[in-house]
Amino acid sequence: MNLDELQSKTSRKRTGLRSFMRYWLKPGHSVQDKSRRNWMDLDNASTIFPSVLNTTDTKVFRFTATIIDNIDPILLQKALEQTYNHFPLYHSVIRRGFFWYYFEDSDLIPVVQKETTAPCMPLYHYDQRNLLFRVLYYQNRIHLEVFHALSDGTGAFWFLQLLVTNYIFLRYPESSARTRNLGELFSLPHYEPNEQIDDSFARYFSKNKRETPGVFPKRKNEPADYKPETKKTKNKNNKENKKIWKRIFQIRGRRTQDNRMQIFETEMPVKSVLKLAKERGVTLSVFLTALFIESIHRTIKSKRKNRSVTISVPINLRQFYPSNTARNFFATTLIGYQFGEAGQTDSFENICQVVADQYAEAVNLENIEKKLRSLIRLEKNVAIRPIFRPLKDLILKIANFFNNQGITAALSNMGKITFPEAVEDYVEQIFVYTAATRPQFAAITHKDYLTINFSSPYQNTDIQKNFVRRLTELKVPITVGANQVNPPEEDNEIL
Amino acid sequence: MRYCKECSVKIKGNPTNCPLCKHHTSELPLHLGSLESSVFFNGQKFLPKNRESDKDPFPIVQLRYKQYTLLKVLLFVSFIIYSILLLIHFLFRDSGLRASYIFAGLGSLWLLVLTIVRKRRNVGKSILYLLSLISGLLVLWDKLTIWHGWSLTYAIPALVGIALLAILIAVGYIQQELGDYILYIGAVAIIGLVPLLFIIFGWVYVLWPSIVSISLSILMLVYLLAFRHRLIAHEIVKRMHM
Ligand SMILES: [Zn+2]
Repeated sequence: MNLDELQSKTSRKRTGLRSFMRYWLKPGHSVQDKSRRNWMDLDNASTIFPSVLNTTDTKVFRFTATIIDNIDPILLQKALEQTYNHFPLYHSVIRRGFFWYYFEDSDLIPVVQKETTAPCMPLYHYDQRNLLFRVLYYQNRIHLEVFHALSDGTGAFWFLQLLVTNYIFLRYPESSARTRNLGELFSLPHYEPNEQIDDSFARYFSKNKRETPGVFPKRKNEPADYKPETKKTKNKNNKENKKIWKRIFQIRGRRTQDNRMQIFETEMPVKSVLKLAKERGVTLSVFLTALFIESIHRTIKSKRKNRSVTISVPINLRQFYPSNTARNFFATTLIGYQFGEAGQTDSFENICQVVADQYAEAVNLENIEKKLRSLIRLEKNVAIRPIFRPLKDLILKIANFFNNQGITAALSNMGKITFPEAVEDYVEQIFVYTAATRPQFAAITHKDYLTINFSSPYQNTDIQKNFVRRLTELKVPITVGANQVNPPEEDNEIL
Repeated sequence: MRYCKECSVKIKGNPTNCPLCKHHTSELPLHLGSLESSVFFNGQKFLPKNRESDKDPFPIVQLRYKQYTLLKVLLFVSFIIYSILLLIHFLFRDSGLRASYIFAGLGSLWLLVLTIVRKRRNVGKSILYLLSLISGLLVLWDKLTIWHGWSLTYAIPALVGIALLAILIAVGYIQQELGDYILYIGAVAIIGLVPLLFIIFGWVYVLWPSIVSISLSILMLVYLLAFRHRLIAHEIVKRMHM
């Protein structure tokens, strides 16, 4: 069976008079039995995505895995179907209710497609029952694109990991022969349907959950002297941690012609960058954040040099609150630097130090918990719940707009990821990036290589250039790959 | 693989200009040459990466124009038509062409187009919206052309009947999940009861069209409540969930 046949398999059959009558008259008709589908609420972080997405910022992110040979679409399709069976969450579609959006189960079958469009095209359309992810292939690349309301980077990577593993086992049968514990590979906790669809925000942060002693699961990394938050510490923390950034710089520029994302994939040996970070006594994330802040600052015209540059950074909550959810489970924090403050030299080393301090502060669990609790309280507020959904959309759009005024750019470091041992030899490189309203990057480490992947809705590439050149000046060998945002014009000489 | 001397980076594919700084690219320098594309760092050798790196990492995607461009053109054209008709109206006073007709005509057209475009993906919703919209427009037109009451007497009851049959046929033909349509079918049937008000308040001079419309609607509601009440309850709980 080739892919065309597969695509037509999912299209509908002709309707005869008999099936027409059966549709209306037979109570147990198969189509109507399925009509009473399972559904569930969106989690706290997902709520915002369907409301604020637009044609540029589609809230879709993409993982790319490059394999040693060109992709065989038939085998990829097979691998996709196998993987899909392990991920009931990925069967969901999003629908609009009167008050909220909700996930609904579907029996759609995903079909792999050859990549022919720009990266991160929209996945969610109102009134359309579409899956919230897609799998594409191009040459030796497998892309997994996911709508952010469904999954965060960690959840989506689990899907990619299994997809690539299945594909490699099919394409290179000798690899699965080398794997001793195949069963173990497919019985990880995050393949359990109930674990996977767990709303961990609700589990950890909704009202009354923390107050019940003994019920609350012990957290990893919990400091020994940790005490649940009390009224007293609350007030004190508020003063200490709320850093107010003044005159925050906003990146502006000419957009790409048809609003497509400008993507830069850069790959480099992770050791060379780690060495640079260690020389400054900071972690990789801190180093990259500081470098990004500096790269942005160098594009600012001299008149506005003394602004602050703030970077929005997601924190994976699974590292503090044990969870196998494949849904969203992250919080964001704002890391910034105020340029031109008295008694301070704006050297790269100083930026590194200021950023490092903020990272240390950001993973303060009390602060994270307080923030998430208030977000959940807001969602569960009796005054908010009965608001008509289109009005909620509008409110969220406005809130999102004002929130964005406080953010210069965003980044995300996924850390180091791995594949099962037998598979690694066939996987070359992993890239990850996201649709964005402003220049941003996502970094991921695989084997010895770090890839830093920029996405931007703008034509201007100075920030990315500054960033890359700074690294190459420090003797990091870098390979760049970019998509075309100004493709050659199509021939219009039909006249 | 190309090379940018300004940025000192290798570039995948064969671009003539560096995507970062737009300078002309050059051949890979010898020490980074393709055969020795493995990278040495601190004396440690890294495996050759991207054996396919001579190819472009992304397909070339033609520019995609927004679908709303068409709507903008149509809006512009209808504005011009409106201006011309308005001009005719002022030049030839006795043409019988009233400014309100022109405005209402183009307005109706646009409302219908926008409704059809926006609701094109759910036939049940589409029929419900069109029924409400057209009914409203018909009453308006009746008013504009000196009230005869034909809209309430004939047009709306007929429209309701047609809508009920249309939704029945279309949904049964598409054979998609009934849950997606059932509330819209219910809503159309409830609108079909509105002619009852016409009779009660004596707004209509011929009764049978309203009676037919009401009977059809009652039949439909009885069918829904008798055979599909569980589905209806499920859909309402799901959509009205707070
Ligand atoms: Zn360059």
